[in-house]
Amino acid sequence: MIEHGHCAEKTDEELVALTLQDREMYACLIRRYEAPLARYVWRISGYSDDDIADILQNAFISAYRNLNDFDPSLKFSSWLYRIAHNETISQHRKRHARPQTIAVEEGDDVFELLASEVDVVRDADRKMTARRIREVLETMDPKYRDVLVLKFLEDKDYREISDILQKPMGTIATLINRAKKQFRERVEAGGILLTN
Amino acid sequence: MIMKDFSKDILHTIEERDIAPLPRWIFLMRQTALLGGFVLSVLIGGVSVSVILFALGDIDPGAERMIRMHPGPFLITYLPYVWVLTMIAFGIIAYYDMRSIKGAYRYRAVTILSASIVASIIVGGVLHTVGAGRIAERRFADVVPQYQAFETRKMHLWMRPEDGMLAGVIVSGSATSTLVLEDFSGIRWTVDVSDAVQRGWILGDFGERVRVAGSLTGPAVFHATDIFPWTRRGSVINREQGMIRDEVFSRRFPDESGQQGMMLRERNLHLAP
Repeated sequence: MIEHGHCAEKTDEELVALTLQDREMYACLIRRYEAPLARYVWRISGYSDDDIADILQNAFISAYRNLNDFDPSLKFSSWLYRIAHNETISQHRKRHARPQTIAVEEGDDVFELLASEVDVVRDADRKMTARRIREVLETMDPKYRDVLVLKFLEDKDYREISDILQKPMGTIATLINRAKKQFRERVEAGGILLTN
Repeated sequence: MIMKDFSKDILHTIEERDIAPLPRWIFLMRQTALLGGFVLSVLIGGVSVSVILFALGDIDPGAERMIRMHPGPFLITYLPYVWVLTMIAFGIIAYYDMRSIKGAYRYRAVTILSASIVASIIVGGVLHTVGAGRIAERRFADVVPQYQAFETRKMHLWMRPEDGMLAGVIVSGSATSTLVLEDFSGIRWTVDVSDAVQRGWILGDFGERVRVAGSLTGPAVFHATDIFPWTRRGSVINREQGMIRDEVFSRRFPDESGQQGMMLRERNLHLAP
């Protein structure tokens, strides 16, 4: 098995090239991305650990099979997120429904970020605001939730979101603006105070 | 959240199922096939555009009155709906092909769609100038029996003397006074063309196909207000037919052809819109 130290100083692209020569090197990429991808899949699906493990296994195997199709003009992480995203959507389709759940930890920065983006006045009881915001996110259109998760929880820039969701950057900007607008409207409707 | 020895599990699965990265040529072939599909769709779209241009280009200036009187039959004849549908269908195929090409998602749908349409129009314009639209339309009619060629539709349209439209072959007479015209069903008509406005390049030769607009004045007698060449003046087909006719006429009537042809050409130059 490949030791962790072997991988640490290598870039994703170098690891891709090495994996094509030696399958064992794929362990480095898996280790590097298993946690962020698992968190991402959890955030957009709210599935159980077992389901997430299945999705990730399929995603990593699919990525390995299509390794020669990786376009080095993209970030490897964007390519992998895209595969994981598509795998999750395909899982939704198999289940004939997309869960209306957004999995957000109390400690997540999403509340801070979203609050500052849409000028939400933070309640004295921050926990209460967090709960309400989560409720609001759960009622949002999935296409808007996806971009909010990538932007505010995964901290991806427009280019990365564009590569993950395979949409033009202009469309991503529009989606984010609309998502923020919808979020704001629903927050207001839910009785959370706004600064303006 | 998860995961214990996850990488080990995945590598084990990969090994167990004997999974290997697909060779690069497969992806290259896929991209090439998509690009080829896009180019082919644009070409077919271009052929459709050239047929549309060919059909629309045959609408005569001066026939507005007839079009106003019979918009339905004119629309059915001159609008090549089969080719319009083909153009739309292949425009959509080209769009989806293009969208599947690597990196194309970075462009807006409207940009890709516009690029496909513009490419088809440019290709169609080029094909039209070399007469490919007419050839493609005829070949298609030969291959698909259910398809009624433009020429046939046009014949049906102009075989409505009761509606003031007649077409046929000049059998005898003069293009400046009275013509004997044999329509496409073999009926001979006496056509008074003395007051007719000549719309285009008409030689008045024996065997020349013409169309006349006017009114029925008796059994097999027609009074023409307008006389059109079978195909619109200036079109490729007309120029070709004119040249062939000139040659045949010269061979058959070496003394007269030059004189009559010259006289009618002069008249055409004065009367043509």
